[in-house]
Amino acid sequence: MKLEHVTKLIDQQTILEDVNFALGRGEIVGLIGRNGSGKTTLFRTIAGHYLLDDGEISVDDQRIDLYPEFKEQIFYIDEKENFLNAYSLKKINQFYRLAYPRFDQDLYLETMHAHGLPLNHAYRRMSKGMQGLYKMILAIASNATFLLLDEPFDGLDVIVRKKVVGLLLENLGETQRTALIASHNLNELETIIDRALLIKGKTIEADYRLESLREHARKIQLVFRSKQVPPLIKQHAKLIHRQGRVLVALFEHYDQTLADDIRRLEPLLFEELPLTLEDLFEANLSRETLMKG
Amino acid sequence: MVSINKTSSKPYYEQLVLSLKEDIINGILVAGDQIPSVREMAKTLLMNPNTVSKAYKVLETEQILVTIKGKGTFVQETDRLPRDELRIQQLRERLKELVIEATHLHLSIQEITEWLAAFENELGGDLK
Repeated sequence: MKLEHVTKLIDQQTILEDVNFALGRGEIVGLIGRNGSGKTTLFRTIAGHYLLDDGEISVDDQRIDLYPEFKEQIFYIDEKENFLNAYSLKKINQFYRLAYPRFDQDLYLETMHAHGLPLNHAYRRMSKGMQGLYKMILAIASNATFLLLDEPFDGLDVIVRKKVVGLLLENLGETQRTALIASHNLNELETIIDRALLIKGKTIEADYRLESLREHARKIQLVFRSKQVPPLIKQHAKLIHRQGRVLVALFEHYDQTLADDIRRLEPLLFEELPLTLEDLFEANLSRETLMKG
Repeated sequence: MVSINKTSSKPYYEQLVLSLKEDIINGILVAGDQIPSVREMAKTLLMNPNTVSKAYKVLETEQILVTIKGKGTFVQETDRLPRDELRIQQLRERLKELVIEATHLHLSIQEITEWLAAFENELGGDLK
């Protein structure tokens, strides 16, 4: 799936502007961004709930924003306009079988049984955990090619969360299906995604491949004699924290040459720290960047 | 049991490769054992299936694992394999780097040798 120059205005306000990215088959991609950064708008736009103001969305070079039949390839439940509340699981199951021609009823029944979910129950009367589990079962059983999952781990206890993640990984693994997951639960996302898309300022600001990032990027704690941040650091790093002389900086392309250059500045402290998705989030999305700071 | 350390700067697939190799050395896994499929492993470790698959591929290229279509992935008998001179050379280079670092830290070669012996002992392996 490819998004090119996607722009969306709501009430004359630009929410998304010139969004470009591609999702590969079999990829699990995280969508991360601050509250109100446009994640839900992006999902609704891809799902075809909104018309585009500019740009295009295509799958295998076919414009999906023009052809509604592509909707059966996309799974999305709108969390804010969640229509499931009004129905029983049995009714919801019927809807989804109609909406998704490749719906896997056997898998649906099997997983419902395996997780002890009743087949006929009012959705709104289930606990948040059961609802979370149920939505993931619908997602995988839909057999849609693209799963757009909006906060699928939100409000779930550890045990249900592990079940939900397990279901997703088990059923997406080694298939040609793709998941785009928006979540603030960075800790959970970290181990399951191939890539992280950072949404900021109405567009996708950064696209990280996590495994290669783990190889090439470093988070380093530095203390220099002077209170000024040396230009070398400004040039190569994003600042995560700064407390007096103590700097915690993210170097996206760290190598021996850079390490030697830093050593030449004679830091009082030079220590590598573990790098997490949370650091990427903070380095990119908090206001305190080196450029502005 | 394989596990992933999120705070390590090693990529997850490398950790998984190393972890499985360790399991083989200390006899948790033996030649002929079937290991979980990519899906099962991804589900157990709650880890990205593409990462698991990459680790398996590395181990297959190194002839530590073998996948038999329709049957699954198994631990290979490695004793009979010829020595992989290229990878031995790479390991030698890495040891050299460590010796350079160690010298800067005023470590004696004796201390390093003792550590190596202790690690070997800990893993229950038999380096000859």
